[in-house]
Amino acid sequence: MAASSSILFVDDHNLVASGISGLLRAREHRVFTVNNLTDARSALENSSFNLLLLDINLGAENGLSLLEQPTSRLPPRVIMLSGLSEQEWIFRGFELGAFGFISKSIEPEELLSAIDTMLTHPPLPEAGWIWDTQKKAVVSAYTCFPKETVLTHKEREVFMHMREGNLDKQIAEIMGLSIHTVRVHLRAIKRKRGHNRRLEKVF
Amino acid sequence: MNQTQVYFLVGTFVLPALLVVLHTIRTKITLGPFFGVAGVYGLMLWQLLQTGWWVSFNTLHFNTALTLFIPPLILGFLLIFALDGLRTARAYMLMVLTTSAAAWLFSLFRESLAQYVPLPYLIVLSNQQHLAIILGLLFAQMAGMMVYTLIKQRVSWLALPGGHVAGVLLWLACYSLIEFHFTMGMANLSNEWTEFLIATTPSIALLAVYGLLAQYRGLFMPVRAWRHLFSFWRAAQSDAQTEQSGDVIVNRDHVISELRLLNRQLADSSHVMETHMREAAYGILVIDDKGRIRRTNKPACELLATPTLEGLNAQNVLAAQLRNVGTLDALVAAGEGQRHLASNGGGQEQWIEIQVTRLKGEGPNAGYYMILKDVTATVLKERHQLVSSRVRDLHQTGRVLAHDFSNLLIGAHAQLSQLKATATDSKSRQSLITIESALQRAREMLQQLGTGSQFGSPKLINLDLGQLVDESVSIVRASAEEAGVTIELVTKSGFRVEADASQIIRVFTNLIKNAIRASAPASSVRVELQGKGRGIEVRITDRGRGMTAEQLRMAFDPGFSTKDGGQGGLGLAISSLMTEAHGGHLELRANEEGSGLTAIAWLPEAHQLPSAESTYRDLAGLSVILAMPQSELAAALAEKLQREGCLQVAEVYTPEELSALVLEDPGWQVLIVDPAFPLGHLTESLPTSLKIRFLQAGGV
Repeated sequence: MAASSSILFVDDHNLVASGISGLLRAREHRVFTVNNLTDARSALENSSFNLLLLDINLGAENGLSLLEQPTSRLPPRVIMLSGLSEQEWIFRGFELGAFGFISKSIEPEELLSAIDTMLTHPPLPEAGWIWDTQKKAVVSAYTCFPKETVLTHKEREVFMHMREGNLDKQIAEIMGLSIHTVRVHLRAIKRKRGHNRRLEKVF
Repeated sequence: MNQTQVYFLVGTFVLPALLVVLHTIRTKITLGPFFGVAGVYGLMLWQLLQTGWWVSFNTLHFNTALTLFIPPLILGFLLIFALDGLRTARAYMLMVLTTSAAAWLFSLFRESLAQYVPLPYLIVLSNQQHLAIILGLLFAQMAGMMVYTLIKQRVSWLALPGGHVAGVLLWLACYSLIEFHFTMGMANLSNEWTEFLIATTPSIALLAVYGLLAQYRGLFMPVRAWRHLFSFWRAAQSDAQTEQSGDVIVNRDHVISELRLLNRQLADSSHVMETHMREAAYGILVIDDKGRIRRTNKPACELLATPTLEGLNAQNVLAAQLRNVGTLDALVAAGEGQRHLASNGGGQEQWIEIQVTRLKGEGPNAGYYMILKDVTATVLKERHQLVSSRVRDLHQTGRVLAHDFSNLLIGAHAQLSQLKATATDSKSRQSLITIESALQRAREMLQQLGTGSQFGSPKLINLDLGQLVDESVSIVRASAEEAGVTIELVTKSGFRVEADASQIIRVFTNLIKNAIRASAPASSVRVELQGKGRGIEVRITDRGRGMTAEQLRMAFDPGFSTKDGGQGGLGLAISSLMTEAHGGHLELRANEEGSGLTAIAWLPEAHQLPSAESTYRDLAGLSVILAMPQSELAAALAEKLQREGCLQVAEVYTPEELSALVLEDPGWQVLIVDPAFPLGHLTESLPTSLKIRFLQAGGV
């Protein structure tokens, strides 16, 4: 990352926000930290940034909704940060234009070098970049998630509704589809995810 | 043909036919109606004779009273004699005689009555004529009986019609001779016999057919000795064949045929049993009431690892071969199949399901019937499912924890780094380093909880174990070099396992890392791959400090660690769980020679073959609908298509799903249809952009 980039860092944990931003500042970047999406939106309105570091899980809010209603001033690069590595959210983020994903379960120094390395790559058209914590390298998202396990847009939508505890019929109603189509999607989800994750905890 | 002729002809058929029908259903309704009808025939004979009715066909002149009723009466007698025995035949004869006598007496009564009261026109028969008819009937029945007995032993099918013809002709002879004396009688006989024979033809034919059927069904009474025919006592004594219990007449031959049927059923079921014993894939033991094994089949001997089981005590054999087997009665009481672990050892565990039922016999216990099944595969599968779901739960728990803790850890760590950079005095630096290493340890534990693969969920695939080991070694190679430890790799390819690659690599890297940590610099860790039993063993041997017996015992407990600081202590526990999830097991052994430990991971060999070369390459990158009735095959094919690089694959099981899908989600490019899928008229409504292919055996 070029010296003195201006970075918007969105994270609801003060400990993380202050810790990481401190490290970034030590490298002479300009970092602006916010805890929630409202602040993030107004920050984006008021100034321009080179990079957005976005935590997916912001307590009650979902960081990705910042990308869903984009202000025209979204920085050219968006990197998602999260303690979770759920395929659905990561790919949803890529779909909304995120550039990469870095898991939070690494050391801070590694995080910094991960951001640096990732920014040297050109954007990936189909998906995005992921920092592989085992190989310590930036890889295409499809390396971590084999293509045959990645849900399509429609399937992901069905999956999200399913995880919220909706029944097949309700999903069909919400999405304006017939129950038959929903069932076909559910079948594909089950095939790709290996098991029925309807009961998994919503985070 | 005039009306009387028609009546006559119909009568010649109907009268004997009625008797035959009543006879065939006698086992249901008894012989009562049969006797009654025959009696009516006898009375009718007199009535008709006294009314006078002659029917002519050209030169043939029939005295209908005689030609209509004499043949059925004799037919009735023969049926009874041949099929129901002599005693009943005598009753019939008596019935015919009493009916005739009654008719005679009634005629006499009318004659005397006519002296006082004017009566309608009536032919008056002489006493001689009455007597001639009655004696004729008596002799004719006897003659029929005798001729039947004579012919029966030689040409059995001819016996009934032969006896009938003889009976009818003899009746005519008796009647002619007694009625008209010798000369006139012979003339009458030669005049009439053709008419009588012609009138008898229908009943002869009926008798012949009925006789053949009865012969086929084996319903004939055995032929009587000649001397029995006229001996009242002999007939009565030996006629026990005809038992009249209640109102059902049980024919002995009928009993015999039923016994034959029963015998055949017995033979059938014993054949079924034999086939069963020979062909059954599971073990069968038939045990007598004393607990001794009477019969077995081959699978039973194999399952119980005993070449001959017959004669042995079942209880002892089971106790020797299986663990925790109760008594036979306890097994019966347990009902549903009980699973027991075979104790024959030999590396591979074997599970046998036992199901015992009591045989039914005269006493309370006639023995036992035992079925033994090898349920090892099922048990292993169930266990596999159980353990892998546990690992998945653990994985999931780890992920949720990881989310909350990673925030804390990374934040704390970042703050710490800043503090470290600014801290000046060595004491606080030292304590910061201690905190940092504690954080480091927490992170490692977290990673272990989150298990190997950071992304995706566990999935079993057919893999080459050698490659997995190679990959694991290459992952830890750097840390080995750092520690100055060399890794000796003795690996072979060709060992296939069904495994989740990331989990298995996690297990091996864990084990190798442990070995490296335990090793002194400049020593070596040996990683070896070899087949064992129905699986593959990976042995990781170090020459390090080893463990005490106490440590070995606790090694798999979560939190156990021999290392200071550093490792989390969950590694071995999780590795063991993951190995077990794959149907294998993990073991730690102290080396027999020298110091150090050997970690042995055993994994079962894959049952399924690796998937064959693709036939769906040309579908890569396309959106494919697979229309197939719901089955495992459909799911497998969809998965295969997905793996072959199809952009998306939809499985549809019904036409409704197909039409809903193409309507609501356009953009599908190829439709693969199984011939069993009821496409019907749907083809017309499908978009033209959708290319349809039909699935055949072996490809599309």
